[in-house]
Amino acid sequence: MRSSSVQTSGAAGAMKRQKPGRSTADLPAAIGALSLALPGARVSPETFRLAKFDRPEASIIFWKLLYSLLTQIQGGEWKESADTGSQVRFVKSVAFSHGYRRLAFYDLPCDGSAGSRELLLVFSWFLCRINLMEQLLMLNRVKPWDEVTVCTCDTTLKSWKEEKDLAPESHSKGQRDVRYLQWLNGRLQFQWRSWHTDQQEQCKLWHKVHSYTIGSHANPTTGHFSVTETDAVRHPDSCMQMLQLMESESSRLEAFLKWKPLELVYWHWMESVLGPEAEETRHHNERHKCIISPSSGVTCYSVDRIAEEIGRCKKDLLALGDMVRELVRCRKLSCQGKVEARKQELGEKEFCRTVQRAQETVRRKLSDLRGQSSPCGVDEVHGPYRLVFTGKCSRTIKTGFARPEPKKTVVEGVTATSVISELRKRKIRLTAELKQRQEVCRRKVGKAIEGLGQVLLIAPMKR
Amino acid sequence: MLPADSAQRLVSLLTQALEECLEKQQQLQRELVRCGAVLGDWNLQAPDSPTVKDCSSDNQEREPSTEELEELELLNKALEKALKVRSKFLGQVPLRETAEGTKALEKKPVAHVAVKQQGANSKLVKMTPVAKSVKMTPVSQKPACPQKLSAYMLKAPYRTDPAVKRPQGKTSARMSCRLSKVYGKSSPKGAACPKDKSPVTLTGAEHGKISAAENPRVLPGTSESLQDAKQSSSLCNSTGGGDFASASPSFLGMEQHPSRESSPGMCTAPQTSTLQEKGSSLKLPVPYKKASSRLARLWEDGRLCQTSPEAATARDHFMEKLQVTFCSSSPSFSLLEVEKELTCLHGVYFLMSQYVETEVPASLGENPTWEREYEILLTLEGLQPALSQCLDKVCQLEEAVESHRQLFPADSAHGEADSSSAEGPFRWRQRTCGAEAFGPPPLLYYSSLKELQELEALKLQVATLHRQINIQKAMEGELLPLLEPGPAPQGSCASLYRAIYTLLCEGGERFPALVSEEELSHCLEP
Repeated sequence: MRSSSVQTSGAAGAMKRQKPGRSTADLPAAIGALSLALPGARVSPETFRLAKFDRPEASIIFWKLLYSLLTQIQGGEWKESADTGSQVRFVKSVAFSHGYRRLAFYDLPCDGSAGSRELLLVFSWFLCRINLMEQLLMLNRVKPWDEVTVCTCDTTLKSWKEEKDLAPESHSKGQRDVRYLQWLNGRLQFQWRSWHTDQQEQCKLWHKVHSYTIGSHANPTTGHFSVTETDAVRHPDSCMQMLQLMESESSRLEAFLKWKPLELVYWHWMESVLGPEAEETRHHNERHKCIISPSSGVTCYSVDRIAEEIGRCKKDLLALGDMVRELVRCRKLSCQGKVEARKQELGEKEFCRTVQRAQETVRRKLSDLRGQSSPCGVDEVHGPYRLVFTGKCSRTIKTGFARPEPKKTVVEGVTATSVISELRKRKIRLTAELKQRQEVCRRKVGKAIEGLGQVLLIAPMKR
Repeated sequence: MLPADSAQRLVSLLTQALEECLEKQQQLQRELVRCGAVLGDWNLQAPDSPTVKDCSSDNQEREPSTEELEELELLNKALEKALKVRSKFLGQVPLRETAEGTKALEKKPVAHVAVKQQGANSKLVKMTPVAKSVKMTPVSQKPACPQKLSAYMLKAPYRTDPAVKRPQGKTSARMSCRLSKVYGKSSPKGAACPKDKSPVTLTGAEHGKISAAENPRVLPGTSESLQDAKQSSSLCNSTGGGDFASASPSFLGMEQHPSRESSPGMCTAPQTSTLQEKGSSLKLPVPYKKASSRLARLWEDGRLCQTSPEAATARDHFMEKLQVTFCSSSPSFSLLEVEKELTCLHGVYFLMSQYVETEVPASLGENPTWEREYEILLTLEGLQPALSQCLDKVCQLEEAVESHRQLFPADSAHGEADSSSAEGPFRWRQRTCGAEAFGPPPLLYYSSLKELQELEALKLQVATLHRQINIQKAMEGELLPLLEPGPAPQGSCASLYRAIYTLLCEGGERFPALVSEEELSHCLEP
């Protein structure tokens, strides 16, 4: 942070041209705060400066940095052992899937030996595009509370796509008996069940801890200890560990708070890093066909797979559209005559009321649809929550605490009841979907069995 | 038999689900152990730090820590030295032979004494109220070991720790924790070391050699010293049974003292102390309190801290300039966004198709009321704009994906893709969907155990349903084509169909019966 070399450097010179004054001196501080706020090894302002001039010695540091940060974002496992080549490929493909399209970046050699300036650019792009800092702070936070994650987001696509990568080793096995699938399926069901029991047990224990410690926590909103906190009371060792983690998180947050007012300087500087080259590239891009070279290590199979998925979705939607159109046509025909008759029968006033009522019902029904159509619905309960027990006696405690200190910041919260009703809806919808799919299959398989001839299918009893 | 490639895909999908499930369960198990420890008897657990460490880190085996091993190593070296020194005074080494001597020669009195000693010790153990814990028993028997069986030697130094610590049990939990830490550190070096010298010398490879030479002379001294030990430990030091005869009983005495002291202590202390009893009076350690409130404050500041408008413009300016250099204008959706949109489109599609299903003429019955019919018409009409919106979205997504696709040379098709994607981005599991708001965590209030359990159960059900639907889709894709009439042999066909029916239509839970009509007719006309 105090590195004077940066101040006297060319980078600072460029800054002066753009924005004279205090910003020159602030740059190292800004970068210092930036790298302190990120988890893992610090990258010095000097390295950033080197990267601006595309010095090769900085490139490997930046590849490492990007790899470690992006693996955390993607929830993967950070492997120290991953060789540079695979680190480079990983970073490239993550950048690609986030929509980074600077060809010069993808053309960087896989040995990580060059391109620190490109890396600085992509790093800054991530910083802005996906709120890298905030996300990482959230991901790495210490959680001394008991946490419940309510996320009903469908992760189907994510898990489906992994499947292609897996199991080259099972190639050798070749054919598999369908009974093996059945066995696996059965095991999965069994596993789910035992997971369920474990979870119920955990709820029990959580609840015990919460209800036993009611009234002991200084924080009036919570009022009880979490398991971690109880452990900390009981056992100083775990408390020390916890303290260390909290300490490092605090320092990262402090760095983040320091970074925020200095951000401006950084972005100005980044503009100078990008330099006048922007125009050139554009012209170049216009003249040449842009293609990511095959040697880049980025592959397009994910693109192909998504394209397939979209195709399927489109087909379904079109079919449904046809069906609806047809139904509307029929319905209109049958309604038309009746409307007149009904109008006369009910009288103008009553008729209007009926129409309004029907419209209201439909509006409500269709509003469900609108709720669905934003990805990871905003209005839904969603994400990790800190679990708080509000037992019978806790209410009095709460009010007792609340009197001396009026709460300034209201931490938002949801009640389990509302989450439960949300989940119930979800469950009903999903169960219906599964049943529907099974029903369709039943027809298909049934037909196929009929086609066998001479074989009679006796479906299992419905339960 | 299934075709290799489709079988492989399905198997990997299922195993992956299984692995994920197992992983989650292991996490859960660890949590359970932790909760259990917290809810258990604090008096037992608190001073016994190794046990708790084992629980929190998922160390399956209870190995001594490296520190402890190092200490042992040092001890052994010191003891070796001592042994060398001692072997120069062979004549004065009486005690070494207790164990060996009893069986090698017919020294019955010694054996008798040893057994008696053992009995006395175990009685002592029974008297202490803590002895009901399994852990305690071997610990308090330890003093007996050196006399009886020298083979225990290496275990002695660290196993004795808890015995030394135990007197602390009566003090408050926190205090005892601290004290026990001090004890834990000092005891192997300080208290335990010197005493342990004598038992350790009894064993080892050298033992045999020495014993052969010494046996005849050793025995009187031994029995004497052991008797002494039995009668009173304080006398031991003064007995003239030789240097080593006196060394051993003094060890016995010292070791026995703490356990004797501990027993009255434990009597006065409450037998158990659980969270249930003292939960509401607990206080968090002050440094923890401070740190956590500081952290909470920082998060709150962070939440309120906004990017300044100037910084935002500067940032946007940079981003614009950077994105100008992108090859071809970037599409409106990145691949990840396409995926998200697609997922949600899927949800919308399903909801719409359900509406349509309930509104088909067949489900209305014979004579629907006019109102009902009107409602249906309105619903269907309302669906139409929603549908066309979805189609628009799909087209946008298609465009975006196409534009991404164009970045690759046209011939780089599937072939090489599979080989190089080991480290691809698509192996990740998204931790969350990134919808968390920056700041302190939102709260989830629950008011009863039942509520919490229902919440968790539903959560799991929803998750598994997602999974099941996912698997169902994959299976449909892979298994339904097998039903096309093909050259498959008739015999295996029926069983294959049956399996497919089970998997696809019954979620693998129930089986249909397939009956060959020929056999059926045979059966019917016997």
